[in-house]
Amino acid sequence: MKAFIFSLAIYFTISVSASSQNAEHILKKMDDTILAVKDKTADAELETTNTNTGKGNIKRAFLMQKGSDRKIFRYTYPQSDKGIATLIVPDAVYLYLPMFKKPKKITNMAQSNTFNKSAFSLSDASYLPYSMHFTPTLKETTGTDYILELIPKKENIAYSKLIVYINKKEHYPVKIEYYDKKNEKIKEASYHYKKIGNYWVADVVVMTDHSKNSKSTIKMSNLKINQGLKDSDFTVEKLVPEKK
Amino acid sequence: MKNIAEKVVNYKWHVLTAIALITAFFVYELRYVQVDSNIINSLPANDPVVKLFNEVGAEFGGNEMGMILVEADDVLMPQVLDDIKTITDTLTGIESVLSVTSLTNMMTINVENDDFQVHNLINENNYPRTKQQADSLKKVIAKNNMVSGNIISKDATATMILYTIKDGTDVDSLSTVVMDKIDALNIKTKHYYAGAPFLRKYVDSIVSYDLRTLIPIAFVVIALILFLSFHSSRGIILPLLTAGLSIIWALGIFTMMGLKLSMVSNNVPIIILAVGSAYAIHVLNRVNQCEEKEKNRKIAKAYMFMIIPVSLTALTTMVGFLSFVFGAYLNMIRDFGVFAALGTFFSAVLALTMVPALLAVLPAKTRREAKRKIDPGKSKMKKYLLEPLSKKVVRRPKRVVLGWVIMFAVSIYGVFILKRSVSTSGYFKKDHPYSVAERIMSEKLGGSKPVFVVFKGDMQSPEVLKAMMETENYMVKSPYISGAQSLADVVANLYGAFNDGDVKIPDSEGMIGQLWFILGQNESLNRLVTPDHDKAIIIAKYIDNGKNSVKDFEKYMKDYFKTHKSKNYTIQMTGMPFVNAKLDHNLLYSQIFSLLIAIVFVIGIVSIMFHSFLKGVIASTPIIATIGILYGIMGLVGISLDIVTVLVASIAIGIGIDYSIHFISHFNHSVKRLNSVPAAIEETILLSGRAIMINFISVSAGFLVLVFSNLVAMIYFGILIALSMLGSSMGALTLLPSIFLLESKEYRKKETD
Repeated sequence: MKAFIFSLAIYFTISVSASSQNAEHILKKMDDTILAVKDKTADAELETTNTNTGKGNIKRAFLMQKGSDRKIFRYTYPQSDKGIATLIVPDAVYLYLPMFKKPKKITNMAQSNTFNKSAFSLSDASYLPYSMHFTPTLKETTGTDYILELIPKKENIAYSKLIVYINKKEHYPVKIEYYDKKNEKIKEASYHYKKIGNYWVADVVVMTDHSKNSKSTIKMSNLKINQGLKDSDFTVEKLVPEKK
Repeated sequence: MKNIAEKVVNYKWHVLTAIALITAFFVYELRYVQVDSNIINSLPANDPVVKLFNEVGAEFGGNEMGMILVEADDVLMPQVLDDIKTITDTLTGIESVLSVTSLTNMMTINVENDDFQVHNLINENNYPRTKQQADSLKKVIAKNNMVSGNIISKDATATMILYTIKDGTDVDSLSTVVMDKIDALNIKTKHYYAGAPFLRKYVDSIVSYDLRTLIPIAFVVIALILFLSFHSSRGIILPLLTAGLSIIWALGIFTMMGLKLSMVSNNVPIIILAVGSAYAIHVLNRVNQCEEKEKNRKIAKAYMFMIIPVSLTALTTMVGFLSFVFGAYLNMIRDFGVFAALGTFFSAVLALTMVPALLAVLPAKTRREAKRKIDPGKSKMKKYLLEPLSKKVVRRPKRVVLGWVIMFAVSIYGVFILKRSVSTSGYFKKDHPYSVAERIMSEKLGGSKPVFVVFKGDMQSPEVLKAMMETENYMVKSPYISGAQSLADVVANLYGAFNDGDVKIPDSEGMIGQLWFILGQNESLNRLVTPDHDKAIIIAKYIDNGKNSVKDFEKYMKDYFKTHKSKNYTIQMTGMPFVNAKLDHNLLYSQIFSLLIAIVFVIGIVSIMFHSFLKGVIASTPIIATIGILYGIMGLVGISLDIVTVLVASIAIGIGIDYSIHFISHFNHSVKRLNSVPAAIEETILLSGRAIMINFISVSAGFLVLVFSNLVAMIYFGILIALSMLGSSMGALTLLPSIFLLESKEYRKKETD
């Protein structure tokens, strides 16, 4: 009997460990898929809609991105926003309003609720690579996806857990659900990926924020990847257009 | 008549079964009784001031904000800030709460060189620990006009935690949740609930409490008076049963009509109890007095005598109540009239159906019970009140009339100094938490009455924003406004932040357009501008210090609007002070209108009843004199005319006229029989006087139960109705006979001799 219980305990320990290793492996592969794209440029369209009223607005911008933490948006639409540019670099956000000439650092403002009305939050983007910030558990496997539960490794992450749906074949995220500290689902991101060369790149992301009743959609066109962008392309000076 | 009387008696079981079934149906309907004390819902929705006020509430969410006020010697001390944070966090954790603003979560923007720094107004990890640190923080806060005097008082002894509510939320249920959660925290710092949601919550709970407690008290008080008056069990049970069922029937139909109880109509059950029991008493009395020996014939005969007087007195009382249906500005006053008129109608119907049917079913009175009947000839009331009164009236009618004239003349002065009040704080007793909260808001946080100036136009246009800024400055420099905020403020400050502290509205539309890139992200701006940027408001706080006149302020603003017109924008103004002013004006207008309706109809009915217009007018003299004196007393002792006390006059006419009707009916019979006016008056005062006095005592005692209410206006209402009953009963027993005597040929002949 003792031998049986011991065997059972060993079996469960091994299977839990195997499941954990498997989950970590899957999450690592997802990180690798996302981070395989070193840089990209695209014409981005950001549509924000209030899910209660159905009202919303559309902004268009030219996007330059390097890794996950360096981005420049140069706005082209609407007319009033034309020429406005934002720069996101690690730990700082800058805004350039052409009529006021000089860029301003708006890091705190951008991170606080006073700035970011769209459902996308700057901190969500900072969780890459996920395997560094979360401990995964494989909850389920469907015909097409792995479903992982990610528990934050540190307290300072705003969520109690994430549920991530990962494409089994190509290892890109299909859907991420965000749960607050009360364990209630507050946000949900859905991704559409397209293949460019050997890389999978998200060209449509839909983020629904249940707590704010808002839905934001980013659609990318003219996507170009791995063009060798440098860190020096993402400086405050680059926000101000060069005089012709 | 005889036919109806016989049918009621012969079909007694059918009548009682039908009444039981109808009662069961209405009891079932009582499950749907609702209370709504929102005065805004009660205002006529098509009134332009109300319409704009409701539009602003819907578009900018300004009308349904909850507030928790915290008061302490210094709200910036750590233990108080901890309590504020606990309350803030608790509110934030409530599902239906959209946003919470307090000292502990407010953000401020500082610009240092080219760096916009957004940080907490008060650092959670670095609360002031000493008085010096608190004083230093006070100085920092004092520079921030959006916070100082609005969120925290200038002396830092009071602060508010403000929350907004998600669309589609049941605001009243949320208020209960908020109160329960915060009360469960057992916070030691003094805190109070304020704002429209809590005002309704407090009024609703008082209305429900009053309904639960005052009705049983009124039942006991009236039962006691009936016992002392009639000394018989059926003398107590039948009137109370009639009134009780009338309350159920009236409330049942009232609910089926989709109407809701309010702080005005919650006193109706007590009114029905006091007024409605009288009809059953009259029927019962008449049956007892009837000489017939066979029970059923006795009842039928008494019924024939009573059907007309009961119907007519019920009709005059109903007219008093129904005058509100046609004259009232507030829906809750109209609903009061409907409910009370229904109750009166059913009281009369049940007194004329259920009471005779029950008497026909019950065994005839035992000898012992019959012996208990008090001989009016031996009563103390007769000895100490009615006899001296009748002698006085018959001997000195001129003095009696002169006495009334003097009282009336003195009262005229009181009428001129009568105040009107539509203030919400006046609903509660002075030590009620809401009264304290209103006082804190008014004395320390710039007042609780917002004024909204609505601009329609392009909110990216420098012209529109500059006009808004100018209007705001014009308002703030007046003695009427303690502080204001608007979209123009935000744009000017943001421009200053981007332009080396030059706080102003930029001249360039392009610049404003680019500032909108940031402004458009700011969710809290929803309180100041619509998502389409085509409408924005200035929110200002009106100083309601008792000296300011809303009319003067309105004129001050309208003068400005006249000279500041543009084809590119329109300006409109609304807010609680204007709604209150409109309410105040219409309260007076509707009072006069209701009173006129009541007087005209009552005189008309009484004139038809006595086949003489003169008698109709004379019958109304005591009650009209009483109303004049009543308003005089209100003016002299400082009781304001408010949404509840405004009801007194018309109700007093409806009920009080019954004393005159009873007196004149008896007098007409007596004068024919005795052929002498003085003798007829003496007999009427002695015989009808007793019934009138018992009715006055029972009705007044019923109304005086309202002094136990927690609503100040209801207390005054009870006292004033009791006073008017005293006036109209004494008027019927002194003024009316004096007029008849002075008018009589006998008296004139005596005077000539």
